[in-house]
Amino acid sequence: MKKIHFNISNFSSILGGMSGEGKNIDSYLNEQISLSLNAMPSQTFEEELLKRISIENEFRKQDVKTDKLAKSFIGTIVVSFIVLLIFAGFLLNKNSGESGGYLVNALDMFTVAIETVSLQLTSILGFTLGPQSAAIVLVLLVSIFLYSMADKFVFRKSPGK
Amino acid sequence: MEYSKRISENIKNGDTAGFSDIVREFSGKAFALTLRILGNKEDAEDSLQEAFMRLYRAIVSGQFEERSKLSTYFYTIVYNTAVDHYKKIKAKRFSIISIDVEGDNYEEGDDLNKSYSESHHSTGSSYSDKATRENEVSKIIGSYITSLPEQYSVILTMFYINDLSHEEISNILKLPIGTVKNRIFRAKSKLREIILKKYSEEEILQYV
Repeated sequence: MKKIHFNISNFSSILGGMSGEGKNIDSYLNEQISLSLNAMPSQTFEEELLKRISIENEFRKQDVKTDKLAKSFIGTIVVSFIVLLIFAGFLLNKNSGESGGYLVNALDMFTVAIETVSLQLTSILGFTLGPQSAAIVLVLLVSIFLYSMADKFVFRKSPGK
Repeated sequence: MEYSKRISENIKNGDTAGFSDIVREFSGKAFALTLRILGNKEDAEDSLQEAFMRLYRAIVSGQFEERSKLSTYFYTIVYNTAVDHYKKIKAKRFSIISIDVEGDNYEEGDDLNKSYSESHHSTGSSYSDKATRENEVSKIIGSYITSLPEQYSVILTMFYINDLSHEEISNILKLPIGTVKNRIFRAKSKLREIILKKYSEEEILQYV
């Protein structure tokens, strides 16, 4: 039987070439796929988008300003109310020994005015403006206030939706 | 991550120029994706604008967590916005739904055979030079990509244009990672088969 002898001196060129060919076709296809899928928006796209962004940014700044203003306004009212209450309490304590003082007279007049309004409301609408109904109105106001503040935190949107 | 953190900090502080860097970096690549889903340049631009607005709001409101990757987060928004847009403008059922709906007789790759008709591109002309032939190959690849169903073309765009990994694509599309890999592989194999039917490997290798 005749033996055939091969003399291969450069394995890497053979094996490298084989794997290289497949790889090259792969890279050619990858490149062509990328080229075919590629697309660019119109030239005005970026400009229009940035305009929208700057408008949105302006609105956001305005919102922050309005929010700060509203908060400081509410804060001022609450603080003045508390100061007024403390001041009134202090004056009442000071005048408690004196009969017929100016402040006591003013408070009496205020009470009479409330009673008159209450009587008129009873005759017209059929209910009295007593401490209980005042408390209900107060609770309703607090609930509305809390709801308007809370909805910012409760109704948060999920990303991308 | 550092880049995302720095840029989102700047935007939160009212620096719109920081956002224009993001727009410049992502608009082209993201447009390719929206165009692939919506198939119409005007709708694709509208949808992409909306996606950028959503990203801006997410950064400003602190919804975007700086530890997550900006590109993946943004492409998720781009995909969801385009799908929402499609549902709004079209009365018909969005074919992207078929991304994870497979019938009893469905086999991966079936739709690739249906979608591409080789007869359109068998011109039978003889090619005088290398440039003409290369142009012809590009045309064949281009029309093959155009004819691909969304379940393939969207994944290919995410992989080749948006530079997303298999895992990221699988997270965005909510598909198993194996399906994502399989679709990329099948779409490419089919393309190779089409090309190698007309040209020999040696001819193709001349263009590389």
